[in-house]
Amino acid sequence: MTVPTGSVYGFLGPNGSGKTTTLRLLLGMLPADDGAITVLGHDVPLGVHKALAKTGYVPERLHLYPTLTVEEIMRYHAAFYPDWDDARAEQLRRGFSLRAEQPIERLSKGESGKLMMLLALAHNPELLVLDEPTDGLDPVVRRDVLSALLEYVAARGATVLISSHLIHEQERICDHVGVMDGGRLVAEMPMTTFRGGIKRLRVNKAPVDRGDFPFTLLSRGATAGREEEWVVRGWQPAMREYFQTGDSELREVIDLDLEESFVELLRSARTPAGIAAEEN
Amino acid sequence: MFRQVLFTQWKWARTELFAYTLGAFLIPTAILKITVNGLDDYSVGAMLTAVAAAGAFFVFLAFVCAIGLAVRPYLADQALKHVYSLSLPVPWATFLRYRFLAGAVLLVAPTIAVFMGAGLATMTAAVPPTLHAYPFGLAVRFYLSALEIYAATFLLQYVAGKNAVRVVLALIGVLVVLELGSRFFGTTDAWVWMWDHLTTLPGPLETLTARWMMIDV
Repeated sequence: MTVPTGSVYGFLGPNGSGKTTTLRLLLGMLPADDGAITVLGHDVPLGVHKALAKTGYVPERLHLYPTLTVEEIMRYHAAFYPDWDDARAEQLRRGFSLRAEQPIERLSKGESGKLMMLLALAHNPELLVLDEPTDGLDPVVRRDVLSALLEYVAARGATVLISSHLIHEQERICDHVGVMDGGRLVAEMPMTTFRGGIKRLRVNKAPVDRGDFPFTLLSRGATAGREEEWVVRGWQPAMREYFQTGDSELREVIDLDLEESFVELLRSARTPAGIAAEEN
Repeated sequence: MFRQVLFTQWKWARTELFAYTLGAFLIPTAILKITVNGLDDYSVGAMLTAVAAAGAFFVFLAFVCAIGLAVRPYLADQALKHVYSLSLPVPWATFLRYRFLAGAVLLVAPTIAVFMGAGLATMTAAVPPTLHAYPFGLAVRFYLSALEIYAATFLLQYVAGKNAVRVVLALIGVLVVLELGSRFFGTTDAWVWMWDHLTTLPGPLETLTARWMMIDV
């Protein structure tokens, strides 16, 4: 998994696919069994605290001490971050309409989400790791939180790794996407490729798979007569020519929206053929 | 950083800490009221015996303070599955050092209360002229004992973590082996040997098991 510097990387996957575990591995909260992790040039876990100093983290559940007030947790948090910006934090607190003396245990879900985003943004991080940051928030709060995030990213050019299963939200804000399923990264690509590269094809007299397809065949199934429906990845208009060489005929190329693409990608990843295709 | 860690731990434990401190202040007076009451200058021996026996209250208070102050922050971290603490940009060992030191600092409050309470109690009680008050010594013993219990509890929670139960079971296992050894193989002094080594200097439990004398010869 590679998150390009300056990108907004959407980390997609169904519940239980391993997104949160991956994020916790990246931040050194869990020990890795194998492999190597580098965050902002620092090896994890050895140099993780140096990476964490430049990272804003929003976990999927409220992770703050409930008996502290908003002001107290801001002071506590500030003490650990050398680049903490008091003025920025205060501006965000007012912008999010959070009362300084409000105990965290009495915050609503929306207010908790805003507070976590405030803490993640106020120390001017180079990297933001957000685990379902808008999950369960009402549309107004969600918009506030995302606006603050996007404003920050636009101003600072920070890298964002955002995990979510809200695909349409990811589509709006992400320029890269990684898809996880069953603890495996099944696909990773620029959002434009993900959005435009997965198509459903209706093929008449479909050819046999001889391993020479110019695209990645994610799934194929018979519909009516000799017609088949294929889902392919990496589709380019020029690939129509492939079907003109033999007896087969490409009848229709159907665009999939992001959610359909995601579902097809997952479906194919869960079949042995799909796994082989991904590995190739 | 440390100031903030100290503040949060004080906030979590402030109610209990107030109770411990109040208790630490009042216990010496209560002990002397009960033990000295009715004794005259010729009852020095009886008075010392009574004061020594009452020392158990200080041991109990040291246990309560130490375990209370060690458990509070751990429960706060544990409730959040340590996610917040682990996400902070300091090495885990540094964070634990701050946590530990904050509790050690908070233990000073009941210790000062023991010192002041014992000082006030011995000044106002009718102590025979052959005896002397040792409020400072008592307070130092209280702090060291509480710190020792605090450190053991802290280590068991944060360092042993999920293995805490195993560590405790291993300790019990050692005790059982010693007991069996003493019964079946005639190593009758095993318990005594271990107890002696633990409770006499430089044994770690010396500070707890020695005489807690507010007044002594």
